[in-house]
Amino acid sequence: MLEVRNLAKYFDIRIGIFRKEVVRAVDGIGFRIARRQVLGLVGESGCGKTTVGKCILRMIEPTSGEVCLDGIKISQLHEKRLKDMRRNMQIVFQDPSSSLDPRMTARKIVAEPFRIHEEATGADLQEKVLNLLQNVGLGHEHLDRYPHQLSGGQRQRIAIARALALDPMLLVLDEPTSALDVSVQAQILNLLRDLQKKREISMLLISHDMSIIRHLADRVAVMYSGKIVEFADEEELFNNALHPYTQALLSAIPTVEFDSKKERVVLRGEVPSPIHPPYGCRFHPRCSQAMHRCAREEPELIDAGGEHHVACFLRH
Amino acid sequence: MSTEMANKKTAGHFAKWKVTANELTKYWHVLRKYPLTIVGLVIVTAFVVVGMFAPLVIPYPQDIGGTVHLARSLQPPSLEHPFGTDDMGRDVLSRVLYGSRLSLSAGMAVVLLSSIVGIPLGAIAGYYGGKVERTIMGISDMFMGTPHLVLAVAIAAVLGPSQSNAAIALSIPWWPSYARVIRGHVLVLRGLGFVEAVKSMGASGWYIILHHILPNCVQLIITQSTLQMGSAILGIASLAFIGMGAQPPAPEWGLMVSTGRAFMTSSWWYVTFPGLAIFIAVLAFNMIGDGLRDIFDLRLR
Amino acid sequence: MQDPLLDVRNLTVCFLTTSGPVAALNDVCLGLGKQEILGLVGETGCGKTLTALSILRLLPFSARIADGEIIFDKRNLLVIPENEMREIRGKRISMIFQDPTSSLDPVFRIGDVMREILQSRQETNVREATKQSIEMLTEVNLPNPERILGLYPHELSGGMKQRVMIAIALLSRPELLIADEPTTALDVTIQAQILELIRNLVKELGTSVLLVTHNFGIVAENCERVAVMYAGAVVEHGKSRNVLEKPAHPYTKGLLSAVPKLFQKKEMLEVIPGVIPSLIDPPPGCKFHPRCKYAADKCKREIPSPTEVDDGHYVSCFRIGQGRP
Repeated sequence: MLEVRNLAKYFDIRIGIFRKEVVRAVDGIGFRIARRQVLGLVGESGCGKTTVGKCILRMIEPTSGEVCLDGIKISQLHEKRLKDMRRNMQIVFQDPSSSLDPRMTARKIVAEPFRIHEEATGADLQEKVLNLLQNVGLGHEHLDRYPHQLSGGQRQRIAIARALALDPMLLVLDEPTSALDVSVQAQILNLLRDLQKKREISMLLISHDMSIIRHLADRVAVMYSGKIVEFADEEELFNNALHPYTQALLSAIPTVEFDSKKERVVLRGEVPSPIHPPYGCRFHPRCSQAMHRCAREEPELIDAGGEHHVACFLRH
Repeated sequence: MSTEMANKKTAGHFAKWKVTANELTKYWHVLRKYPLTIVGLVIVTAFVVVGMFAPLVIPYPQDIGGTVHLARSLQPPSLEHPFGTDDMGRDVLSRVLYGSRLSLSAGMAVVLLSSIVGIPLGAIAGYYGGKVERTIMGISDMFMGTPHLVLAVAIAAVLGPSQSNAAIALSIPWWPSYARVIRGHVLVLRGLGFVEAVKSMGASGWYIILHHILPNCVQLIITQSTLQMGSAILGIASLAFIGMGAQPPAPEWGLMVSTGRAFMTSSWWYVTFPGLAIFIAVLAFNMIGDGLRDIFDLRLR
Repeated sequence: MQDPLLDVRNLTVCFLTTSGPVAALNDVCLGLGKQEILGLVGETGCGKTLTALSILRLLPFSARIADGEIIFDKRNLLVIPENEMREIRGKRISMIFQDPTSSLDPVFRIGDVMREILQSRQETNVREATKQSIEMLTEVNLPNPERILGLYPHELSGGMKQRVMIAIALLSRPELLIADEPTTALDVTIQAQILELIRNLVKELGTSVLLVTHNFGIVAENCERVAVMYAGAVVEHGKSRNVLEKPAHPYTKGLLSAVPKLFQKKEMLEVIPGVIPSLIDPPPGCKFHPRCKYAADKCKREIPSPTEVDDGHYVSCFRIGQGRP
């Protein structure tokens, strides 16, 4: 339903007066999300996952590559058709405090998508707004409140209600719970799970937190330095991670589960610079199993069996 | 719709009013902590009231214009003429009070003209960035590089001396300060998530500027305008002082100070009272503006 | 606990607000032993950072210590004169914060900062100070320490800056290091490095650590003992293994069930109903009772004190051992 091919985004930045450098935020990635499927895109800061989300929604223009939603090439649409297309894909941001206009009530915020696309007016609109709020666990008492009168969890619920207003096919969630407390996070995660099942919506869940990806995603893609290094079904990835980075990532996550069979793999070194990524496999400087080949060539994503794709020479 | 729903709806409407009443009391509580601002507000209200009802309030309405009572000229303050009389025998108090109408309206005109030009330009510059921003800011920089009054004098000289021309002349070097301030604020707003969010819904640039950016600039605009009023009044008075603004026999404060200079040593009241009026008016607006800036800041947090 | 390094007893801290004094910490009791890592865990607003700041008397302007003692080396830190407190801050008790970027002055090089600290504390010359700085930077596993001395903070990554902060904090070999969410702003893999570093330093230098965090996983993997805070009070404390595997307080239980697990997937996460209480208008009695499914009448009237449920495992709750309602 959503297909991304060879997506790349390069930023030009100026260092000093004369030097210009290219930041390769996203460097050639592709994936598919089927209807009603949740894809988790996980990686650490600077890996490019947020940029991927923005490129798909054309909030920033990709440098190259194609994005197709339901067969239509979004990456090449013009203004008018793009606006139309935008009803089908929506985004929920990380920080609910800044993603809502502080001068608008909850009612107006959720009604706005309808207004922009001239979908409904008057009593019909009000009914739809109330319905949406109820779907996310709020009530009519919240209609006329301003964001600063609501808690973080409630604000995020409004952001979700707004995103679902026009019944989009694809919902992109960029770190939807990072700014929330643990107990509130649980509420929002349950809500998302519920909504996804009821509305049969596809989701792209972008996060650095593996445990929420585990909780919501059907398939998981691991990003490192602008590239996807591993891509598999959720259960398969967590039980049988093949890429050394994924293994390190999983073992680095602190868990309360005392008796889990977790190996302690502590990664050395720093996250690579997006301006000068390492030659060959981008992970090789930090990889404990790096071979000579890894420093010379970049591995492609290949199928290691059962829809489990890895980009690593160890598995070739 | 059932009666139950109708009842809920009316209850909802009344609830809105209750909320507003609550909010107003909150405003009052906050305002109470800024006594200077309250003083400023009182003074400005006094000027406004006097300005509006001037002809009814002042003791010698005929002295506003060009009447001459040489017999009474240059008399010191007394019971009949609390501010004394000027060289034409006109009651200074009446002229000063009437002058508030002239000064306040001219000040408002300057503020209005410069904001009508400056605010949209600033918003566009801040929102679109790139070449648009550079062009607009470049032009505004040109204006800001020149001393305002000098430029205003030059323009007024070209247009011809009169109160309205002075107002126009003052607004021209002034719109850039609005544009700058608004642009700065818009840059901050642009970085906040909700602008991105609305964009991702498919809203156009105009829609965003009109419905999201400008409403969030209201507090800034109010504060800026209040502060500018003070400077505008001073500017108008200055232009009149050098003869580029209101012409005699208009009871404009700056003009009165200018004419009174010749009699400063012998008849101190002639310069002093109009001068005091300018001082107090400008001070009052500044007090309001300062207080507003702090109040809005606190509430935003 | 016998002979603790740091003993916080009945610490009560208020904020002075326009609506009167507001209690932010209520009767907080903590004990930290030698060469031990104690986890202080809770959600936003529970008072864990305030407790940490109280130990060093770095409270914000509007805060007042209303009651309690903090015993360190047989002295009550809350009453000793300021000049003696200065001898302790940074030398015997150090602190590192969440965001290393704002803790480092951007116009000074790392070497300048470290040398200045060393020279202001002891009579050393530049060469000796540089040598000690390089030693400390090597201790925290920074590659090329000589080069780092000449760098400005913005030239370092987040993980490296945090290591520099740890190095600075450990310059005088303090007995206690307070770490307030030291890894929250860092990536997961870098977080693992920093936590491993802290664990090693405890072993090598014998420093004790008070690790403040909101992440139970970090506590499970790094802290021998843990104290759970809610709304300004310690509700449960004991050995990490006991508290996290067999939580006795309803809040701890609820919080642990609400965290999505990596190794066990659950259909729906259990949620604690309600919200964290406001400090200005707190509920009477046990502060958790409005959200607690076991709340009884007594809970609404009195504040429970800690009772021992297991070896060294204390809970402040009236309803333990009394079965489900």
